[in-house]
Amino acid sequence: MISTTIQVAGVKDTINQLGKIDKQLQKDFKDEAIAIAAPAVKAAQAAYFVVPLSGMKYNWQSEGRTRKNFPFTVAAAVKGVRVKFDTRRGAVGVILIEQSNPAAAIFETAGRANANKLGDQLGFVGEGRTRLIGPAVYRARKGVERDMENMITKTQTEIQRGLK
Amino acid sequence: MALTIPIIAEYDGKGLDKAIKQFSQLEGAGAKSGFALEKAFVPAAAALGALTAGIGLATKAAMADEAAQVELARQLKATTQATDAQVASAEKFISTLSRQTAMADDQLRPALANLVRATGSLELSQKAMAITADLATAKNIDMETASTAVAKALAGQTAALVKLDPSLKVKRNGHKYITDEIQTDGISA
Repeated sequence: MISTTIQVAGVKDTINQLGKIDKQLQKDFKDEAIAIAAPAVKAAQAAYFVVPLSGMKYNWQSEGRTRKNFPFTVAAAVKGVRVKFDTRRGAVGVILIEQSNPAAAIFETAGRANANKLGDQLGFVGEGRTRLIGPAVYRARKGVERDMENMITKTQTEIQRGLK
Repeated sequence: MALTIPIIAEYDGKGLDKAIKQFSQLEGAGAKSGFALEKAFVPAAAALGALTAGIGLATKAAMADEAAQVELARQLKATTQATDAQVASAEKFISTLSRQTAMADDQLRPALANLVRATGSLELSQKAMAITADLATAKNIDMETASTAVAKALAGQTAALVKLDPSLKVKRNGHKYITDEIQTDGISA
């Protein structure tokens, strides 16, 4: 799969350095990033307006599993979409849009790695793709990425100026 | 279970950092080869849209190179009323001379601009560049210093040139020597 995600050098360092200089600065940076990413988040949230399969509204768990992932509710799926920051050493994606609701995440990805019954019921999804959130974010992210990149570059410049 | 879609990813500059490290090692072993490699590296770095201090040096070099090109073009147009084609020809000449003399183009451009200011002629300046390059090589000085001395000599002030090469004082008049050399010598573009 070809990734079209914008790559910015030193974005992790920038976020981490802000935290070292002043936690409030890091918080402000994250708030600004969240505000910039809002259109993409809203687009992703708008993709959830119906329960995909009628059985998903029930409280159940797969046989042999201990974790209860369902029911799927539109409200929980919408609430699960948020901006996440990952500045760990090995992380490649740094500013991400996350679907943290397990039922919605299962709906998005079921059957993409290996075909299964749930995936067949939900409809085909390509490897590494998602059913709704990916296309919704991709459509909305063009302006978001550019603004985000500009904001990060501006912050990097200010940090470098401040360190001199 | 959670699912993530990246909107901003970290740029992996490991390959770039490694290349910069290797180039800087070569620079220590032989300044010219190091410099040539550094120069060859500049467009690639510029294309990547350098955003970090790690590639800041290459970006600065690219910016300085572009600024020098603009300055030379401005100087040629202001002094000799050169056309765009003549400016392009001057750039071609710089490129040729750079290969012939193993000098960087960002050393040659200010030198040519100096000579153009002194002679008011692109053709004469290009011929004088050959002597300037010889002088810079023989006396182990930078092109800008050599070109300033040659430019002054062309205007009749030979003191700076004689200071660089006292033999010129004994042999013959510095101004005449330079003008004679320009008539007989020179590098064509």
